[in-house]
Amino acid sequence: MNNKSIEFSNLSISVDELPDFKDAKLEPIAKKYQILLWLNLVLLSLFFAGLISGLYYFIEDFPRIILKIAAIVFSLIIVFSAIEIGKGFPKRKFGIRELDIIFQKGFFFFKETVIPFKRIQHVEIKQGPVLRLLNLYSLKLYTAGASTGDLVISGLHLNVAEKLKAKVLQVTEDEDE
Amino acid sequence: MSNIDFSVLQRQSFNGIFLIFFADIAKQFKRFFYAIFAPFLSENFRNNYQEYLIAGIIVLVIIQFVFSYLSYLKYQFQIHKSAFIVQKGVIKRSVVEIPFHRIQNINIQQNILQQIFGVVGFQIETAGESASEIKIKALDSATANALKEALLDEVKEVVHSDETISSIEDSSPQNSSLQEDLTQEKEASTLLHLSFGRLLKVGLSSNYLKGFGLLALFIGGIGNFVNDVLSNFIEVDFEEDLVHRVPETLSFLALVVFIFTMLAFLLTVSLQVIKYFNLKVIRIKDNFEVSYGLLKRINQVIKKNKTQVVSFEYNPILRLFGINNVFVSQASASEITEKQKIGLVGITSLQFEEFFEAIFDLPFQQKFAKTQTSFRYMIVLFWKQIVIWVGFGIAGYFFINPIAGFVFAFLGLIGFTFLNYKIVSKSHVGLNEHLLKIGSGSINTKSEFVALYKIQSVQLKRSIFQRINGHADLIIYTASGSQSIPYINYNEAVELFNFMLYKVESSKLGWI
Repeated sequence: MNNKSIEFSNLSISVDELPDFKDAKLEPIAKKYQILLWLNLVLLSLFFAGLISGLYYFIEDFPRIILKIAAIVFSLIIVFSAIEIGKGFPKRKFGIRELDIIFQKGFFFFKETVIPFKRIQHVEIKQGPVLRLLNLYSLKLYTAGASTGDLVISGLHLNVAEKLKAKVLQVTEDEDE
Repeated sequence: MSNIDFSVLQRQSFNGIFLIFFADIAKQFKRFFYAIFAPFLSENFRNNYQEYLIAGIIVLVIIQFVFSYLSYLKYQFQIHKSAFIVQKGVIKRSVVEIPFHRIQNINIQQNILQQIFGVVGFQIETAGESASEIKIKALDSATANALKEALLDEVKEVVHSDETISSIEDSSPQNSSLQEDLTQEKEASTLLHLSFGRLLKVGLSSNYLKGFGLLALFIGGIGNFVNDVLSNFIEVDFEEDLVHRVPETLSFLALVVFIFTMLAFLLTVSLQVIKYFNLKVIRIKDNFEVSYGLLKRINQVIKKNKTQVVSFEYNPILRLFGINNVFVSQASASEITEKQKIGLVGITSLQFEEFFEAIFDLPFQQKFAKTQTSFRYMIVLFWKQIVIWVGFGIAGYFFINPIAGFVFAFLGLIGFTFLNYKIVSKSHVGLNEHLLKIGSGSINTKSEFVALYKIQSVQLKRSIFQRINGHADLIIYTASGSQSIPYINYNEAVELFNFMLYKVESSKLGWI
């Protein structure tokens, strides 16, 4: 990292000495979770295909041009979603540092989020119906205030989710003492 | 002062039924406005199905009344042990429990509808940790005051006992500040009392585009309708007629544009004047009590520890008048909208200095290490806006002539490029030991200040293109929502990111 980029001249610590979140060791989520993502996409495409062909064959008055445009738009959406899943899945990773938790995902938009443990209000391990079939769980971390800051890590094995939860709670409690 | 026993379940004032009913009706009306009135625009529908629709609406209104009555019956509250409890919901029952130590503030308000029914609204503000903010819509004012007294008594007690137990433990800040509120009213001083003249200046310098937008929506909505109705009564074919009288039409058009502009102008100014009428900001220690409004008088409190983001804004006209607008976002259970921010409009720079120092406990003069948004961001904005000015061009091409189309598109491109240049050159982030300053704006200039220890989480976002050209968007989450700084150099973004995390994690201060 180049030093000249920012001058924190009035700060008491040097920026270079700060721990870099890039150095954290990250782990991928369970591979099985990919099945759910693909399943969602297949269902979505079936729904679109059904809707458009239904309109095409059963409602003769429906303007054909709208259907054609819709078909093109929907297939583009599906193609891009497929790329997002295929390329983006390997990027879904989480990691734990001493004081915070890191989660990253996304291909078209790669997002790296870090929440310090002491800002986590509440932790929840959840399991939807499809996740239940796959025997996977998702971990939801609530921060204070607006829900936009909340973080959901989906597709974890139960033991991993529980370990993460325990770690988060333990650090939060240490802070409180 | 009263003999109401709040330890048993209480209902709202009986008049509340009607208030709830009217409020619900208004809400439904707003929600379904277009669904209900769109059919009326079609002549065919008016002739054949009008009765059914009206009958349908009547049935819905009756159902709504029954529902409102039930929700009145099912809405009950009480003081139980050391908490205020509300039970509500007709189909989905829910119980909200607010422990006394979480109560930050109690507001009693009265809007026009409430004035008509002779009731007041009762609001309990909490720290915003979860959806535990409570609004009782209709209480008679004696009950409301009694309830406020009762709650404040209880809160005081809790705070006192807390103090004695945990006096060594550096008594938690929210309790002590509440205590200050309860006991000390004497140190109050007026920070800002907006005179009508200055309020008018604020109105004059507001964003007219909003007024235009509102008016356009309104006129667009009724325009169709008027055209439809008129052509029923008068035998004119509008389009035919317009072509034959081009000169007259042009002067008519100019008149319409003029009237439209004036209306938008008046609408914008009067909306602002009504909203911020008689704005008063009173300082009590480091908290500020704000009251404003002509039709609906609103009282709000800016709590020092609940404050998340302070936004300082001005535009060329405000600059000319020597005033600024300040908007404060407080911790909230849901993402704060522009409307929910507390506005201290028409504030002078000197008054803002006092406000800033009280809220942040820091001298106003702060040095920031500045990181600028890259000019590459102009390319992103260009692609986002291309539809708009190409649309202008196409409209000109088809409705007037090819040259007009070209001119429109070109003017659009020039205008947007100028705006984008302004946007990018104003977009930056400043950081120092205690504060984060986010600069943005286009014609206007906006600086948002966040204390570093209030940050909840941080995010770096990079699109495919940003990964190739080495840039990133930085997004900061606080308890009132998110702030984002677009397109900064990736290495600098990572440094900012690490530094902010370090400050949050090493800070001993809680976010509230």
